[in-house]
Amino acid sequence: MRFSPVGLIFLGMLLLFSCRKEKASWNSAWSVPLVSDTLDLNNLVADSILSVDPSHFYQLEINRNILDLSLADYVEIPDTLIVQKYAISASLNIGPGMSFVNNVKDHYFDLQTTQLKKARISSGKIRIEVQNPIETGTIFTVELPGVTQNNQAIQRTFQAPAGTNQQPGMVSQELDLSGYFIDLRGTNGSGFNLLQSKMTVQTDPNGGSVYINNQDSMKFIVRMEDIKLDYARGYFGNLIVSDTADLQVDFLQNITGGQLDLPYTDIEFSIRNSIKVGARATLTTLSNINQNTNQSVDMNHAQIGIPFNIEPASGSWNSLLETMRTILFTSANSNIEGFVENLGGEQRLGYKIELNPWGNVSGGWDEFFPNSRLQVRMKAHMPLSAALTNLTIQDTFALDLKQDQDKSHILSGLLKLRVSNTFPLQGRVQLFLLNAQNQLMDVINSPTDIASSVYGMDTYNALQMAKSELNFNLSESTLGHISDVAKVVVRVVLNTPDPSSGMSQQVLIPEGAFMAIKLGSSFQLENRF
Amino acid sequence: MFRFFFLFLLICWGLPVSSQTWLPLQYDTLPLQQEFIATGYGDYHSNALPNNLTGRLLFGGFIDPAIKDKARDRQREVNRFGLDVHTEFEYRNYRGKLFGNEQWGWLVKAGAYATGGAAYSEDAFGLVFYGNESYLGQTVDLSGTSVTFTAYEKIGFGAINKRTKSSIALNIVNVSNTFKGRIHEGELRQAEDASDIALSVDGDFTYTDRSRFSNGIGLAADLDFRIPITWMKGQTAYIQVMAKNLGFAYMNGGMQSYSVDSTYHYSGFDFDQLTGDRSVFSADFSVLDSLGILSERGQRVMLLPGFIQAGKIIDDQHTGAWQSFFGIRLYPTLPSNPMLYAGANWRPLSWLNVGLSGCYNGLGTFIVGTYASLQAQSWTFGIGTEDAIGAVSRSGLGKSLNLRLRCKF
Repeated sequence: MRFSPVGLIFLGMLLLFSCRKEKASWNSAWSVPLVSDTLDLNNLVADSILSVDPSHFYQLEINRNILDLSLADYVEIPDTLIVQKYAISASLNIGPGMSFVNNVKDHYFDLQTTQLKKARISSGKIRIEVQNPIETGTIFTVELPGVTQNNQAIQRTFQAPAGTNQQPGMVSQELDLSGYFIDLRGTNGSGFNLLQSKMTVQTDPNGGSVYINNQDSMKFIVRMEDIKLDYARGYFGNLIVSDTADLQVDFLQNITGGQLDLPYTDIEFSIRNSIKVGARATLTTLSNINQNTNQSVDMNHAQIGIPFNIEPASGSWNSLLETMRTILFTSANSNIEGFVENLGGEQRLGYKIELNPWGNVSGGWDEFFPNSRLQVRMKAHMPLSAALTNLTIQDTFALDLKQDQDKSHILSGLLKLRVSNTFPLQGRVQLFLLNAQNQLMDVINSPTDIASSVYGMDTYNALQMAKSELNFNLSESTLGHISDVAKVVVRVVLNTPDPSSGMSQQVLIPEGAFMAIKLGSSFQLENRF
Repeated sequence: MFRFFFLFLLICWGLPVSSQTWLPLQYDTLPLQQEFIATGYGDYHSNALPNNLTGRLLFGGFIDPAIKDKARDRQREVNRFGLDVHTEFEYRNYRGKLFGNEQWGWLVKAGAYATGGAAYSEDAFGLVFYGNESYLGQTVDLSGTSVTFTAYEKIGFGAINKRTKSSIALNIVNVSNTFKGRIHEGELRQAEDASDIALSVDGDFTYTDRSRFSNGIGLAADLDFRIPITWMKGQTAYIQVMAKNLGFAYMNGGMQSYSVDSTYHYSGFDFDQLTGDRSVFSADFSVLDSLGILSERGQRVMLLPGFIQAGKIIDDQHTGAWQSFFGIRLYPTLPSNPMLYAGANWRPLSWLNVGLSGCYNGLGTFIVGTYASLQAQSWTFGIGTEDAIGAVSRSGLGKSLNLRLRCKF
């Protein structure tokens, strides 16, 4: 084979330039701030449960409704369809403007054990429809004598067109019932769950005479829908409400180890009744469940599992007086400290409330008003003080950092955490890198801790403040497999050391305490393209 | 973008062509029947980037700290980099009568081009190659940084004067890829402990954001006029005035533009920005909106990166051994100054031309070039470089290679 000189030159150039075996690369050093923020107690807990005592230390004041029961949710009038028909007994020839129906009737509501005599509708609607089967126009007057507003009963007049039994003349109307009272005692005034209706029918004064017989049935239809009550009187029946509620406290679920020593504390449960009905209540269970340690602590107290009576409220609309029953859990009468120090993130509360446990002892005068409630409220009051011994809080975050070694990537780095701390807490921070199978891939430690303010040499707004810098080294080895990391567990081990002995001590959180955090990064970047 | 560029570079340099318009061009005034010319040209130059750095940037390899340090020592207040790679084929037919005119033949040509340039500050170099840690507690000046690049192909048809070899051609141009950006005013300020960064920037960047063969279509003119003048000792010399790829393209494929004129202050995110539905990681978070960067996509017209050149060329029929050549070249769309060149051509044998040239390359440096041209019957082959020092030295500031193959018959 022979090559010309020109061909050889071109072939050489082709070989020279057509093989770029590697990418251009160089290293550069970068520093970038990542997080800058200040944490105080408002970041960790709701404002409403914190207050400051006269000594300018925080205290916890928990005031929380556990149960807020309105009888309007239980005593209700279901959607109801009332049909009233009237047919004359014999055949008649009826002239214009002649009344030929005047019919009164009671309609029964099936409210099971509830016997309502009077109620007020807070919302709902009624639809009235009349049907005329005779061959002249008619004037229907429909009245609901027991449904009143400002002492005026509902009365509606309808001009119904002529019709036949097969195709009656129809007309309808819809009415908002909000604010209407309903008298459910019926025609004789002593019944319950009875709605009275009245219908009169007159032929059109301008029409002709018609012949009607006993097959012609005048009809009106009433539909009551979405009726909600805000007042009711009667006998509300033997209603039992029971439940077991699990209250989750997410923060406590992140505590995985260590000890917490709380000062003397107490918790008060108050049961308030502004419904005029007697009841019997039982606190069936109260447990603190720690899912990390699988430890469950039941509250031991003389009242747990023992029924107690709740007296009915007294008074009326504007003079309603609630009754109250209190159960106090203290260190003296219960195991409340052990209960709280179990640090369970799940609080289980079981209760049972039975209305009218003794039957209709009020003679049908049970009542609830728009502001009537049966409430269980929890109050706790304690100084925000604790002694922490290696109390371990950890949380897990998903992490999705992809590094392609064939592209620009971080070779190594350093996370620098600078903290100015006015809390009397000392913290050790560790990062655990896990793969998708939750296998530990790496542990990143800082040789130093977040120093407690008790060791601080600085002050800020009269608060003792300790400054510390934590460095977390991200080695080439760690970053080499960072793409395989699926989760990072951040673990903080907290202690409350005594500055002289180093032993854990009870500490108080001073008013305005904060932790200023600056997290920065310094890393070597390998640029490749 | 860079991948495309490298691919293009390799393709061009792999082709058996090359030339430059002012080195080994011998003007043949003899009547010809037909002529075929394949040219190719590859050149990159800077006024501050040594070859051992640009070589690794272009051809791969690790740029170690020693290379970076030496390069940093050469940086000036304003630094420039230029790149021109192209290949072109041209067929000239002198036998035909264009539109029945005896004086004019015709030509067809086709070529592919990649042209780019950049200007940058010393601080911009330091930021890219060293990172921001070198500038903690300092202010980094990025003002005046600009970059432009265009890759395009053309096919054209034209007329050539049979006697003077002056020609004019109209080309249809396809723009494959282009980008252009500029920081009019830019400044990065950093705290000593890297806890705080402030960036002021007034700039824009426009690019073809869709990867496809054709993003724009346009028209470009090639003009080549050979003007005889009376030279020393009453001899005739020839001045060439030429313009190449002067034209425009309509970017029907659309271009994406970003512009910004803002000052940013960043000292780290707070926790609310890192968590919750409105965090910077949430799906509805827009980096562009939060930084106030205006984004626009649309079709637009762009100027093609052609050039204009005027100068004395070598006369192939000259009877003496020595000839001079000189001239000036201007790239109107690139961030460079006009190029000035001059040189001497020596023909020791009838079939051999060699030459030496000097050039102010428009980027702020002076380079020395050389070439050789061989003739064998109907064939002429030329090879040259505009930067002889850069061809052999790692500390040179660029490389250049041009090849030319001509067949007349």
